[in-house]
Amino acid sequence: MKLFRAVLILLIIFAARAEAKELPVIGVVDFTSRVSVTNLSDEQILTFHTAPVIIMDEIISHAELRDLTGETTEAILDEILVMSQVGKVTPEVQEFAAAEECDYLLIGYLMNLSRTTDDKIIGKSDGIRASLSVRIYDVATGKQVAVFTGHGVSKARVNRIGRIFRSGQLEFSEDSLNLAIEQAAHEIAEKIKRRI
Amino acid sequence: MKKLILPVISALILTAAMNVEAAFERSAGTKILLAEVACYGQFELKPEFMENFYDVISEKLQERFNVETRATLADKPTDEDEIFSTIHMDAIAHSHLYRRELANVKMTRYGDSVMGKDYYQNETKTEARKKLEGKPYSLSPEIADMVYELGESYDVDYMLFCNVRDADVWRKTGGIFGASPNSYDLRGKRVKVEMEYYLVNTRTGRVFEGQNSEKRTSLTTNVIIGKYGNNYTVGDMINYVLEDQAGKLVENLSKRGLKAVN
Repeated sequence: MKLFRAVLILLIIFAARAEAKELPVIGVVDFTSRVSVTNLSDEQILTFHTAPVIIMDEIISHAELRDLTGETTEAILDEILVMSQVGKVTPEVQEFAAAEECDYLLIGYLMNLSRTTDDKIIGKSDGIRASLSVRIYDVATGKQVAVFTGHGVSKARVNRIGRIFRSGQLEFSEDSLNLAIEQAAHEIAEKIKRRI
Repeated sequence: MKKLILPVISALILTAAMNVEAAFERSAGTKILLAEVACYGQFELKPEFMENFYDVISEKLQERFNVETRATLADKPTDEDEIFSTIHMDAIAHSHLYRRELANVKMTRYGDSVMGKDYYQNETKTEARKKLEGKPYSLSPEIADMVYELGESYDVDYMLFCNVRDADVWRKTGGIFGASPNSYDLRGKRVKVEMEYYLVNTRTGRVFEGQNSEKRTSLTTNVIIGKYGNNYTVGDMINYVLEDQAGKLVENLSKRGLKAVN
């Protein structure tokens, strides 16, 4: 009986250690845009900080996160543009990620901004629809391991004050863009949690 | 102490098999490599549309299959990119539906070098080939060998190539609508997106050619405008159609493509 209890206890201890898997370390880089978004002075808006923050908040229990948004330099943004086309991590970005001991790198893209009049969500007023995509790269191999997309809608003008942005013929407030991006980021975060 | 040795060893052996799983590891199922998404037609879409399409199709494929993805478009192609481009062009050149007059220069030169210029200009033979649509065919022997080696290297059973050959907007009543991505007011206009996909079995070198074509009438366009607003731009429409096409492509691949080259 004593022997049986000892075996059982040891089995539980070792099993618990084996099952407690390490959380993946994900470095979250900023979101860049595939569509032109400018302010009223025609200055390009290059990154969108709302999206990575939302994704990090939502997947925090599923992964160990490294916020790399503050360290995303122009050079890294240029590399990300190349990565968007070649579909794998460039050596410069790999080095950038390895310095933070990341297993995976998450990079986001604003795929499209379009006008929408979705009655169910925002009534009859004009709105914007933001489409985001996220690519996750394995830093060790440089390969892309997953892609997720998400969509969100918002009224074109949420508040009367605040910055106004343009994308083609579309004009919208910064708040409305953030709201639409927030919804899209939430959808993406849910997909990531299901996959980890 | 001696009594504890056996239970400790037993516990270690029993739990040794419990491996720590990697996050985002490839799911079980048919292994497919999304090898290339490119345009071998005369009118290439802008990179942002191709990149969006690549993301959408990658996501739809990974929902159903064990998918590996690699390079899509590149301004500075690597040697491996050129190899995959060659495989893609070989699949197009041998296909039943390839039309030389609609292809770009790179593709016409490759097709002529492999099959001979006369092969595509014989009307009778071209019509006969069209009747074989949906039937698998083989790659060139040396290309099939290349595919086999790459299949082993990537550990995949199939490779998927997408040729987004043509996308255009034109007036229903005639005339060319000079469309830029930000052009709006799509009423009375047609949007056309044509693409083919080539599913290659890496073991046998056999290819299935699937064709997707989207020609939306002005009526359908107005329905889309009603849903998304009057100022739905050409860019939005093309993105919408490409997303729709990606879903149909994966569906077609699941139902027909895999069965044809299995």
